Amino acid sequence: MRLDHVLALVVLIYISVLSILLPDGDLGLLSVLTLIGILVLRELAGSFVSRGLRARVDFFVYAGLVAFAIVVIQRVRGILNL
Amino acid sequence: MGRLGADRGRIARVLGLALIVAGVVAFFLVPGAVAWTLVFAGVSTGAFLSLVAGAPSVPASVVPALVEGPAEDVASLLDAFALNGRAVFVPPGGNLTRDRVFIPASENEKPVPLLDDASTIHRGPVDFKIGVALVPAGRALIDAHVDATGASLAGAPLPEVEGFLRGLGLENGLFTGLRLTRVHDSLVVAFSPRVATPCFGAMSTSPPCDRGGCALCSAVGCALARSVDRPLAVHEAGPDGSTIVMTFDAPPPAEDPAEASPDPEERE
Repeated sequence: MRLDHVLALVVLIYISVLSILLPDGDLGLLSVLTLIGILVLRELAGSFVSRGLRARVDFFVYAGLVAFAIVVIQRVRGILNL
Repeated sequence: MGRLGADRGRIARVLGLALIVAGVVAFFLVPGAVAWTLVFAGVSTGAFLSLVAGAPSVPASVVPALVEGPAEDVASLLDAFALNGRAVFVPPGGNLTRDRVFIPASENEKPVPLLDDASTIHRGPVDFKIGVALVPAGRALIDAHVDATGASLAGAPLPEVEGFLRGLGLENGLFTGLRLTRVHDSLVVAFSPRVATPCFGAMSTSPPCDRGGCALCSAVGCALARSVDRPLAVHEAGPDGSTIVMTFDAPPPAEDPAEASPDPEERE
């Protein structure tokens, strides 16, 4: 099995499990946990994947970081009662 | 890898798209907060599947350069040196760390001289005729596909090599309908290029298919030489209609006589 297919399969299973465990629609928590999962996966597979594939995975990391930033801003605003 | 291996990229893209659509549809059909979870799961897994698993192994922007390569210059070089022998694809081994294609001056001279990374021009063993060992035009394609797939060609059985080459052709839009068969002492490969390869037509600018050929012929030769792990001479090659057919001299590996004969007395 190709490495990119293995990566996709692992992410598919991981997000499915997260969705089952957190069905209440907390998108902030889901996106942060997904980001952590993809970061771990990227580090584990880092030396085995090609530069092109790493760049594609990085796209999801950046998207996750944007989501994480939004979550942080929302929490801060919630704490400060803005 | 098998025959299906080549189509997995396309399947992954379709499956990814289906997951995205399913996620969006679920948002309208499922009430409550669960809808957001389903949208997130569908869209994120679908996008990941489409973008990561459906990626071509060779970046589309570099495919034309790799396919065209220095074909015209190599053809001129072969003509200038009057090198008319059939090409021999040599896998890495010994002092040779990367693949080479050896083109002798006349009909295949055997054995192929010992090649190394430093030398390009070699004296052949017969009549000291000259031969050149060049970087195969298709090596970059093979390396990129090996890098992307993590496949190991060394010693790979024929069905796996066929799956590897079909994947290279289909995923990168290079060629279709690749068939690899063993006929007695030969390996026969046929494929239909989808890109404008310089192999075709009277205006061909690349070396003939049996003298290293274009990047596609060369990639096939490289992959097969790596899989059999010994020099692989082209017996016959050329376009047949819209298909390129290549025949390589590849006798099956000789069986160990000790294993072939179980009777110890017979061995002696």
